[in-house]
Amino acid sequence: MGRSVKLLIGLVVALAAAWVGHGPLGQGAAFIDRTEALARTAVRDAGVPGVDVRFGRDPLSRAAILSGPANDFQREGIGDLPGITQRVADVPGVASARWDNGGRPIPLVAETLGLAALAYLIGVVLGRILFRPKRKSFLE
Amino acid sequence: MSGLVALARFDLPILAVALVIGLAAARWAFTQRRKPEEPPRS
Repeated sequence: MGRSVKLLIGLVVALAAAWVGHGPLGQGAAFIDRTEALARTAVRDAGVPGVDVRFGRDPLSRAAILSGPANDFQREGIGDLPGITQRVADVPGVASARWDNGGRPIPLVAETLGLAALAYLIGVVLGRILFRPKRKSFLE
Repeated sequence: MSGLVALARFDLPILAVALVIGLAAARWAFTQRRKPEEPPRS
């Protein structure tokens, strides 16, 4: 079996493991739950009643969708005073924050699989260095 | 970008598994197995 086939099989196994962690084991949903709770705290701290924030659930995504009664000043802020949009966008884990439901956010599973592929690649590079066949002499 | 870093930190167990699989795949792909030498014929 060729090297590239072996590395491809390894990549498929790594992505499958990442998908199992993200989906069936609930890691992706747990991340969105935590981020949503932090974003709700940020909205509450802004002190504008009736404003809510939620995240994409089908598919899971890190794009925050804001809704509720708020004027332009409350939404966008002024000068150094951040509005609700900026406060939510600054929450760790949030990719973007907007007031409408348009657009197509990047699914969380795609980001997780991308990160897993990167980790796999780092592992392969490290392994290439660690498990490189040693030369017996400089003439080989 | 900072959001992606937060995701990576949360997904650290998944990324660690992927890294270990990468190491194992590299060992599988790059380590040459030598055939056992035949015993000398008498």
